[in-house]
Amino acid sequence: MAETPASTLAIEPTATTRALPARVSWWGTLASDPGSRVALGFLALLGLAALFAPWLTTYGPAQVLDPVGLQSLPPSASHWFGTDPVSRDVFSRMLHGARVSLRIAVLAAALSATVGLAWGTIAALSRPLIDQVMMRTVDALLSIPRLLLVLTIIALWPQVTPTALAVVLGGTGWFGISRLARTEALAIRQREFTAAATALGVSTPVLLLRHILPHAVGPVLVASTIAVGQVVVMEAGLYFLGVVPDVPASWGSIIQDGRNAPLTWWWLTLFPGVFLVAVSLSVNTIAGRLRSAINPRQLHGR
Amino acid sequence: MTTPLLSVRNLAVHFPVRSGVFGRMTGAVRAVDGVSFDIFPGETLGIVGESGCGKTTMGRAILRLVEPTAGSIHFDGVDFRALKGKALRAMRRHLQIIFQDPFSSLNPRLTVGTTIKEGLLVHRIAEGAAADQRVAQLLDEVGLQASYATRYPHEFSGGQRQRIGIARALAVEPKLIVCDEPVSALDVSVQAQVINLLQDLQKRRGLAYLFIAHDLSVVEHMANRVGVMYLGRFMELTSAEALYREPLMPYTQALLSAIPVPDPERKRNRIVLAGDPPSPAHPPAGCVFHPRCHHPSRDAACAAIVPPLEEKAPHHWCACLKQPPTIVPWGEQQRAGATHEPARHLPSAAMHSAGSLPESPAR
Amino acid sequence: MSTPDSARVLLSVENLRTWFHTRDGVARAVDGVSFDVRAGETLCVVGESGSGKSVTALSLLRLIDPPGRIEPGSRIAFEGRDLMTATEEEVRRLRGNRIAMVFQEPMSALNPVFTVGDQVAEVARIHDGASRRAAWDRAVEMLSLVGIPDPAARARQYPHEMSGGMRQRVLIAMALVMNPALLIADEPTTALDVTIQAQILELLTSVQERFGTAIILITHDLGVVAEAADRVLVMYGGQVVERAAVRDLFASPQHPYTQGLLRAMPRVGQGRDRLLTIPGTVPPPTAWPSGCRFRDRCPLAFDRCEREAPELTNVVASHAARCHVAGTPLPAAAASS
Repeated sequence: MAETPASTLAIEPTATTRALPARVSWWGTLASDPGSRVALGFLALLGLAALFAPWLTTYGPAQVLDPVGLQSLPPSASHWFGTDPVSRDVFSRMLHGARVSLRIAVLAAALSATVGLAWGTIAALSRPLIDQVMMRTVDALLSIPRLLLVLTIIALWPQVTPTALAVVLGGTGWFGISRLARTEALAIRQREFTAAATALGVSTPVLLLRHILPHAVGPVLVASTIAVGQVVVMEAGLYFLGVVPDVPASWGSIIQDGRNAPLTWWWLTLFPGVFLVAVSLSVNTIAGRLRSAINPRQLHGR
Repeated sequence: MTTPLLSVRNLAVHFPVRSGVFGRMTGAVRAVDGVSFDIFPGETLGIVGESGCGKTTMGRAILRLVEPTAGSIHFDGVDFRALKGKALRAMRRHLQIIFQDPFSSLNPRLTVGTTIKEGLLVHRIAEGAAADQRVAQLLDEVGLQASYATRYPHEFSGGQRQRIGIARALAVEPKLIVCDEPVSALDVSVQAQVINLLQDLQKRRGLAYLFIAHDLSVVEHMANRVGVMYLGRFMELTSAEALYREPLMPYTQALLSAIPVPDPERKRNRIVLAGDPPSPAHPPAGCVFHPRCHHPSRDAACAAIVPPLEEKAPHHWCACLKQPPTIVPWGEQQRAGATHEPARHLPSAAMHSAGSLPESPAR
Repeated sequence: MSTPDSARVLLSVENLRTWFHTRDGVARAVDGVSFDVRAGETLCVVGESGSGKSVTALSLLRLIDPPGRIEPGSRIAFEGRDLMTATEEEVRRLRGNRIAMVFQEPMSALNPVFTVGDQVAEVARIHDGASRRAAWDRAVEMLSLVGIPDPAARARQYPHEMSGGMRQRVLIAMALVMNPALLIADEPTTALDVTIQAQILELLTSVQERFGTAIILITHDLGVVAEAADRVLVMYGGQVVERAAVRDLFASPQHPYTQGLLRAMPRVGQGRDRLLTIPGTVPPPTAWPSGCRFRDRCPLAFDRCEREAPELTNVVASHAARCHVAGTPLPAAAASS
């Protein structure tokens, strides 16, 4: 057998270099990286704050306090993030807005991951013709700018609730993921254990669920994690543009409230803006760390 | 002889070569190009050939892991190519496969026990505690401890993984196992252990093997009969004994002469083949081996006429126009430009007679 | 092929120890290897995975990266120069020049974005300071020398346009550009088909005859050893367990491991007899057994083998084995096969 210098190092080094990673310890991977620890901590804190927003805030998200006396006040001890032009407390609106933003983001990312994984792996296992049709469809959809696609659907959608928005964003976010899933599935299909399973008489659905999906899930999860950050920004943008009916509070709508005088009412732009960047950055840090841990051959993030 | 267990006729696997925006088929790689043979119960048919000769694809096509383009496969009298869905999956338990790469042939996320059990469960051979017991027996049969069932593949060496792969194949009690280079990734000392294991299992269970390898000495050790493949076709097919005693096909002669023999006293005149095997996408016309052939009678006819695989001696099949006898009439060869009549060519370099080998080392 | 014993010693290795300091412990991959290479001879180093043969080869050119380290006390002398005390720059100037190396996997040893001609020419430019034009001519000449047909055209091809055998020829051409005194070939034919292997072995032999190059050929295949070697080192567990002229090794192997390897090999013409095996597998280099490293796989092991590590000692003149029972009459059961 071929001997390499590496093969004399550890007990079974070839197993770790040539086989698929047996199990990636997600938690261990993140805990060992300071950047990921900070990112994870921030997201956990934000998630908890959003979850317990009604108990953590003094005012309701849309509560008008005093349209005359408390209008457009800069940050102070009583209103940490200031107030907006209609005298609503920005801190309360931020936390309640996080509930909307994060829910949409997680839902949309989960939807993208599921549809993308299913579409890609099924295409990979299908006959060449079906595979071609499925992947050319994805190519066509990828060629349309996502924002254009989203705006078109929203224009045609009768009532855009946050859940509906999550569906729209998730439904337009899986194209790249399906390509990745297909690539992964094809690579695993090349592994002889899938041929062995087929030779044993394992049916195609079982082959998919038992032998292929578990190996494709890792890279797809990482790609979807990146999508979380994108969705948060995009959803804020949609609320900012005002193309979707406003909810009681969202980060995008807070920024929109300050758009007439961004320099004067700087707190209306700064706080949501900073949080958007922080969420996006944290998610990307974690995703990047996980990606390098499982080292998939390619990632499509769009 | 008895009726064959597996009967393959004119098997072909062509992979389309696509190009252009719409992936139009612009050609084909003829990986396997019209192969016929039988395997009888309990026997080993060896397949040798160099990389790219189509031997691995052929092994997979027989199991329909790769769909054949043409030809027939009959297993135990059943038309295997006609089966679909459930019937096909049910039939699969009788034909199993062992792979070359012990690192890619086991699912790294499943325990050894789960891997071996899969076939038992699919075919309802055993369930629950009975299945676990069966796994323990199978591990024991391939020379591993029953306690290994709860471990993961990465904890094992190459030879041990190969044994696990064998146990997985044995679980469904097959009649035929395709062994695709099962020992070529292993060290010499471990290789011998696995070869012996395969031979013991064959004796005990009456298994038939299709044993694919590039190492002629391993194949000779395992096989009753041997088929030599080159560019997707059989060049020669005969008993292992006859093949090594009297190789007729010039390609086989070159292969045999190239084997390094562990005996420094034995310096042979090696037949060194010129160049590399051609691409199966563009096989040469006529005899696919003619551009590299060293037969003294090689001439223009070899480049024009595809030599039939014909019986040159009892049970000795060979595809060569220039090794007599041949059913291709001399007149026809002459019309194709032949200048040399067929003449028996058997260079000493290709001979590996048992007598000239050293005794096993001993003092 | 055969070289008189008095021939000039080109390379002298004494007590070479290359250890890898890993988290799992210290892997003593090469652990006290000594040998000489004489000008113009072929020395085969044979062993299985984990025997330390490739690490030995890399150590000769000081190509060991952390966590690996050539331990103090190791001595490598080439043409009388001590390579252990030489500077990195001095060793770098030797590599590809006086000592060249050929690897197992020709595809990964070649750069895919340059033509093979460029890559061969580069060696001449680095070590000879040859002009672009002269280096290219030299490259074409070398490709022709290693038997590449139509070398002028082939030099303009990229590695992926060539077959495995052709790529290995290119690597050999690169190694020979500076007419090295020593060529280290690490499993040069393992990735190749048997007919191509025959071509490459033939090429190495003809190169040696023509230029008098000494070759260290590392292989796991005893057939290749018999074809190519003048002298042989058999390695096991990071040590040389047997050292002999090729004829002596095959005629009367002294170490039980060598005997086992020879018996475990299937041979053409042998029929379907049961192969004799060596039980077990090579232990990991972090945990060699105490005493003799082969003892738990050895049919002849007795209590002394556990207590006391055997030395490499001459059994007969210039035939050495690392075994307590080598040279003593063996029990009949162990000697027959």
